[in-house]
Amino acid sequence: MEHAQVTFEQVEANGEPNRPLEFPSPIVGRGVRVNALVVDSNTGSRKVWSGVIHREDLGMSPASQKGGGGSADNMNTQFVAYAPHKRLQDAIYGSVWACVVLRRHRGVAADDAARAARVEPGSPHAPIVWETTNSYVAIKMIEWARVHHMRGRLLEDPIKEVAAMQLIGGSNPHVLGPIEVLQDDEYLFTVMPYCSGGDLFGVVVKYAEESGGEIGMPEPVARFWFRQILLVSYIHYINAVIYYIILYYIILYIYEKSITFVLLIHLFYYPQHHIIL
Amino acid sequence: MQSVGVCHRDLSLENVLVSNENCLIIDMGMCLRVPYSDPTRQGNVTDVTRGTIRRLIKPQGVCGKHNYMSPEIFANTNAFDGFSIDLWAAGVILYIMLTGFPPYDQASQTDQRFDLIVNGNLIRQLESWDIRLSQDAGDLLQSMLQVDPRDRLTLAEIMAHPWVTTGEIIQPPPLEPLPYY
Repeated sequence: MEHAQVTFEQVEANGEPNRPLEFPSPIVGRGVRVNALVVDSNTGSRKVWSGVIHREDLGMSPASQKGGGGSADNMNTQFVAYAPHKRLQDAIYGSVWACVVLRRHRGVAADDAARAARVEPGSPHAPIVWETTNSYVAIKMIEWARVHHMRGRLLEDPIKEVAAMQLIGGSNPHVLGPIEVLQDDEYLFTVMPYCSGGDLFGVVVKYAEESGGEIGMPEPVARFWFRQILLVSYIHYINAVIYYIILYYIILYIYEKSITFVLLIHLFYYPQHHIIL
Repeated sequence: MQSVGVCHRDLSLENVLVSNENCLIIDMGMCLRVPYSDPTRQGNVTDVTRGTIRRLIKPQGVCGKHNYMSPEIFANTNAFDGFSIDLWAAGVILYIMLTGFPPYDQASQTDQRFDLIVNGNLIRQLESWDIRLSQDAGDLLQSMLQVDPRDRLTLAEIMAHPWVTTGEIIQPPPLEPLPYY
């Protein structure tokens, strides 16, 4: 807890100013972009979706290669792909897209595709057919060409960004870092949880428009968002690998400082909180 | 066990994505990993995991958006506290949420609005534009937007401030799901 309490004077008195530390190298998997047959789970219709992104070694995790006998469930969880759906915003080196999460389809469409490829339906050599889920992710797609072109000219560093996200996300499933990070020869793909509400700037603009002038949001709404930001900053400071250690400290802190229970309630109430910092 | 001490350097309303009841901070390309004193080798630094106090960071260039930038980053002359600059930006975020516009264009005394704010006139300036915040809100903003980082509230103090701890909280209504096609 003490990181949040330490004053500037204490930091200043603690020793000489230093350079920031290096981030550990990011872990980046090999990815591919393909045109894939996708079944819409809601309507049953099929279409070829271009630019579907997934790991290169689908279903070829070290475990399934060695034993050859991963359970069907295990095999299925490794078959995840992302279908770009809507461009959300431009980034310095590329853009951010909302993508539909796909899983492997095991139905008629897959059998048809197998027969068309002249293999037995269900055979490991059958072409992969995907189906839509109702989940979305946001994928930041960064063009290597632009990164190399701008190298050294900007303070913003996409590799460092991935490293920072992975460091912060760590192995804690509740304080999310990137879901996965993939690259091919043209792009770096950072797969992140998708937030459907846009950015907070948009929320402020909406309030201003509705009230017909330059005015902010009511204080109780601002209080809600500001507390959320503090919560994130808080985790930022104390980010521990184990979520429950954070909880424990927050409980202690609340008792010590008589802070209201709201933070605590948020943590209990939304244990799958999608927060990174 | 690995803990993390990272400052963002580019906090802004645009970099906070919102979902129904939570938020996600993005654009971490300017993050810095804050140095901490090394307890075993005097004078050296290490990461946050050793439970020591952090160090100031030597100037790292002017970066971030001018509307949110702290005066010490704009000046780029003195060593800064990585967490204090993020809390300054959080103060600007709160200012914009409450008023609908940014407090200044440039974090230097040559910017008249900035100069008034850091000289203790934040509330009076808003009142002259007919914007009235609650007393607690005004006090919190003024205590976060102090030109000298020594005078600013720490995160713990912000979290214990009456505006944050008391008063009504309204959770925004659920958002429309993204349409498929």
